[in-house]
Amino acid sequence: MKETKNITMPKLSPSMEEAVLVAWAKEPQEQVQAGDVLFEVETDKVVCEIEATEDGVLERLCFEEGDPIKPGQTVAVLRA
Amino acid sequence: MEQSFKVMKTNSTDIAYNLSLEEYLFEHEKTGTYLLLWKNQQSIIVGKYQNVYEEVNIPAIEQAQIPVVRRNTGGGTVFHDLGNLNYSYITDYDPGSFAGYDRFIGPLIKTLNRLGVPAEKKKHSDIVVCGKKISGSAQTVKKGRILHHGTLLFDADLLGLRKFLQPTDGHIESKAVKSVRSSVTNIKDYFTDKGMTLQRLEDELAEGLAEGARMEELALEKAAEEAVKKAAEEKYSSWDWNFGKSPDFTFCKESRESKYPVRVQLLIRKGYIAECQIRLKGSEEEKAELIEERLQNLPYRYEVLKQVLKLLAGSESEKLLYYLF
Repeated sequence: MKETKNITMPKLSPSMEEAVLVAWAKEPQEQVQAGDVLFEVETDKVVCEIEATEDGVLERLCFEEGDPIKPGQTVAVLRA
Repeated sequence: MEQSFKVMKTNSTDIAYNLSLEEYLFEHEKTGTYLLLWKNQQSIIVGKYQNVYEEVNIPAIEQAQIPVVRRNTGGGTVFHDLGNLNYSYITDYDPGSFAGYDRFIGPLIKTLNRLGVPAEKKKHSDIVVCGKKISGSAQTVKKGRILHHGTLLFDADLLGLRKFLQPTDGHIESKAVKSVRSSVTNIKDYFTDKGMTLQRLEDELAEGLAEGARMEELALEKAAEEAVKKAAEEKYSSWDWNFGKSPDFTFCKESRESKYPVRVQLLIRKGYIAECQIRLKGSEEEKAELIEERLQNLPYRYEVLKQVLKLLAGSESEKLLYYLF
């Protein structure tokens, strides 16, 4: 059984309540490496790239482009 | 060691070139702080994840040939002309102060105040005078660097482009980032020195934003200049980036006239007509089907659809065209 890890939405600022997932940079089942851009979010007129912190395969993307996400929510599942 | 503060006033007033230059510095310069000061000819600039079709009047901008360009930062739609000063500030990103707009607009407000303009901050990222917006800003964060840029209305023609920012009266549904409307004003008449010019204001702002750091004039090398021109042409002048990058949306518009019943429903993907449903009066079912078929997969552009409809719908083509946008 391979290990999976939830990639969660970071709280980008103390006041951030929600961000919009504006674009995926990867597809389901795609191999990713630490440092690769996974997705982009927008909040308070800031567009920010979120990078992978470890290598693996993206098992599942939990949101669609345009969906709002709250800090701490699982955005994707990574299989090591 | 003291960090350098490199300043460049661009000579170009071409929005595609200036956004390309800004992106080049953001992507290629990994250390130091950069300030670009730039102005554009009449143009409309949309946020990175906006739907152009929800923000501007497509038939009007295509006919008037007003450039509509997509920038790399978040937020809403703005218009520029030569009376509007833009500044871009590129530096290291401090994760401790995400969306730290104060760090950038603070010195700007201080400079304006010193020159007599009663500017103050509003919301996170706007600057107002007497409640009216004079400056908006937005950012993008990538690989440890931040790009903050903003507008400053000096003596822009505030009504000039307003009609282009009245989108369709049809119904659009999408998950795109929406604009927030604000009432705006120019700052020219607020300066203590009534002879203030945009050129002098540029120098004042550069000094204010440098906050005592040693300023250096930045010049581009030839290879960089070529790369900037290339991306200005291939990215910022391309329909695919400026229009086609709009998030998918549905569009619906219908007439209430009993003499000319029409209902148009479209699904637009990457700027192209992915699905199309047209209802005309009962006796014209075949014609409607033919039009649907021909519109399928075409780019959702006014001039393109106009040409196609001319051939298919004859004298009614103008009328039908109205319901397609």
